[in-house]
Amino acid sequence: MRYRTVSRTAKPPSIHTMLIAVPLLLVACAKVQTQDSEPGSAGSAAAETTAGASTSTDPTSTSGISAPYTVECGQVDDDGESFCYVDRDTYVGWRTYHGFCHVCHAQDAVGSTFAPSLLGRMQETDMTRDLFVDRLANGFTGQMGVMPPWKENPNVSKRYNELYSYLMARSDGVLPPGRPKRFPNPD
Amino acid sequence: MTKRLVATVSIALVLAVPGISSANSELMKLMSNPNNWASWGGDYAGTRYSKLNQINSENVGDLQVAWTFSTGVLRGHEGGPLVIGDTLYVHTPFPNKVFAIDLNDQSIIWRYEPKQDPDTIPVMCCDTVYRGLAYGDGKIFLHQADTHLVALDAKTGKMIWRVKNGDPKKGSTNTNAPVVIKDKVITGISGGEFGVQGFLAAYNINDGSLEWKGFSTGPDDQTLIDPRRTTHLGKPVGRNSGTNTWEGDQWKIGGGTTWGWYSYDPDLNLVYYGTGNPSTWNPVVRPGDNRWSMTIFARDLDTGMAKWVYQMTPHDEWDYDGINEMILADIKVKGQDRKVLVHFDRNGFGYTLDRVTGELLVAEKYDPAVNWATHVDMETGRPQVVAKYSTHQNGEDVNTEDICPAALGSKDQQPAAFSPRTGLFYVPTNHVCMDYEPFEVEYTAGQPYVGATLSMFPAGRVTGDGTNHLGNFIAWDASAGKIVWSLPERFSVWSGALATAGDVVFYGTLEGYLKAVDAKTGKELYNFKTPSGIIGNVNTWSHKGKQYIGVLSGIGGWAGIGMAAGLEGDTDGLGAVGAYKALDKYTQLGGVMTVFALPD
Repeated sequence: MRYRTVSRTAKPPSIHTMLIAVPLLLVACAKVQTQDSEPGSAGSAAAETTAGASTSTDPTSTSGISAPYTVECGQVDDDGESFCYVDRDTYVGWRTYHGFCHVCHAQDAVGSTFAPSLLGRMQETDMTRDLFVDRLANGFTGQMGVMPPWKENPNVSKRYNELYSYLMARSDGVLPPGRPKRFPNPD
Repeated sequence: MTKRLVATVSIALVLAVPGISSANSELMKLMSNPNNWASWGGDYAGTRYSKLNQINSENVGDLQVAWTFSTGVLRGHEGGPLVIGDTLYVHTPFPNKVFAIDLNDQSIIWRYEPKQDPDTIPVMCCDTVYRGLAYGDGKIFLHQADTHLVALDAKTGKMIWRVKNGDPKKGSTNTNAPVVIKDKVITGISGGEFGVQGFLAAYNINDGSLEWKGFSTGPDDQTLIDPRRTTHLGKPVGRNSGTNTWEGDQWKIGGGTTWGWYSYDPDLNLVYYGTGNPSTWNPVVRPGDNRWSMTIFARDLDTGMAKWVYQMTPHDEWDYDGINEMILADIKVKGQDRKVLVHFDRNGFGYTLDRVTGELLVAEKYDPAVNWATHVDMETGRPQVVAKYSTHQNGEDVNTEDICPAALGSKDQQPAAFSPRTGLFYVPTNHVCMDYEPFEVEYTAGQPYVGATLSMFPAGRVTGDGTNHLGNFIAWDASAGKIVWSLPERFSVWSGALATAGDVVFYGTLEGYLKAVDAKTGKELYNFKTPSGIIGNVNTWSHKGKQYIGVLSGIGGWAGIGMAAGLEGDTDGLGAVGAYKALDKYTQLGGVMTVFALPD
């Protein structure tokens, strides 16, 4: 098994970084992706480790700020279908997304005819975590449509971190479409 | 003098016969003349059948584009144009513009664009679609997204009156086309994903005053149900049937919205429609049958009182809204002439009921992939749910896999057509399945109240037949409950069908093709690629002796997201090159009406 740890600042990587990182990520068949958002940490993407037993990194252990995600793909279920394990936040983010956001932004965040794909949008340089939370909480009027404010909806307003984790895992190309599973022993 | 008085009195008596008003007779007359297309279904029965036969199965291959009209609006264009005499009336999605077009030279006679609060947009689930206008009494009725029902002077576009039918701040919006019957305009409400208590309302066409309002859930005085006279499969429903299958006050946010199409039988004076899903999508928190969500209603037009009801999907666990159109036809069932109502439900069953009594005659799957229920018990009318596909029995936080159909149903709102010449129903369908996981949510007024996650994919992934198409266009025998022929389509067929006396059936595809097929065999006779994907209804009319076929293109609606359907590509079990990407490859946004005719 091969694991990958990707560290970077809270801001998304540059496009240049992503071009390097994504193809590498896609070739690994079983991997753990841990995305640190620790402020001030090195922005370089490809600090690669090959590790043994541990597959999950406690997302809050390093800095107290939620790391965006931990993802391990290449698992196969009883029916022979492949799936990914994800940390709790990413899982809850997936579920919240598909309970609410998918109505406009579509399944797996790929976008619809009236709301953009979030896969590209999350990677744009202006999309900081602060802006992400602001857009979710307060909404805004976009070029095509209107993003509603979600701060009044407890089902969403409690889940900004989780949505961020899920959408970063998706937009970084780490988490493929479909339903992820939580790591068997989240503790 | 006396004679004249007698004559006047006679006319007055004729006009005053209960149940007959001038608006009604005017509209009935307009609808009986196939040169017009005077209501969403062409007629009150919702057959979407035209007696015109200039365009027929022999010559339809020669069809050409006669003229086009851009609406200037993006987003999903559902519904279709109305034609009254020399004037065509066409609508758009939000901001709900209306254009009156002179058929003599295609010039715009008048236009109307309401000012609406853009905050309405995000309250609308699944795009800002609007399914069309109604005509009656010299007025065009527009039901705006923000729930304002507006009467416009059909000649000038000047507003005559306006009433508010709901509150977008609480999640109510409007998408359905109203209908005019007698002196009333009938309309419903959207917002099932926001905990809205659904209703059907009748407003007076002269001044917009509310005549009656029948809720889908609630005590008898709100549902307009008579506990002794209103029946469900022939039996009186009993007291407060709209509350006693709900826990506590849950019926108040119980959904059962009414955003589909409405039909009417003038002889029986009954208006027919269906109600949508119970709120929330999480069935675990709302035990009971959740009456009268997911129900076919037959209401007396004059009083709003329910004559009969039939609940198709008691205690919905899959979001199988029952709002699809009700087609009224007189056909033979088991050798007997019956006045029937035929309904293709989201839940995948095609129902044939006696529309006089509400007796259930036929309930069969119109897509063989349907698996959530084995069959409908004809005694109780209840679908026999397969435990493995019961999202309630599997429980909260459990992902129930491979349920067919998906939440968007074996068919959504896109209305079917009926040809009395072939006796067949022509049905645009979806061929999509899903995984569904309910979870707990809190209700907040004006906020989405969904409570489930969904993943959708081609039905072939469940049936294992090696197919990956997402739709079929079928011909259905409503007497036998059998598919007669079925045409696979790459994407869901999301446009309303049209059948004509020329034995041609028309429908549109999401790639943007208008297609004409032989009504008997399904053989494709013509296709033309319109500017955008078609989710509108194909309508027909005649002007100066020439038959025209018109359809709105403009991709969007739930089809616009439904197509994402878990098909980004790489990981799809079928290796499909992402259907959504594929759709993106075929078409882009933009509302255009394309009108076809034979060459001179």
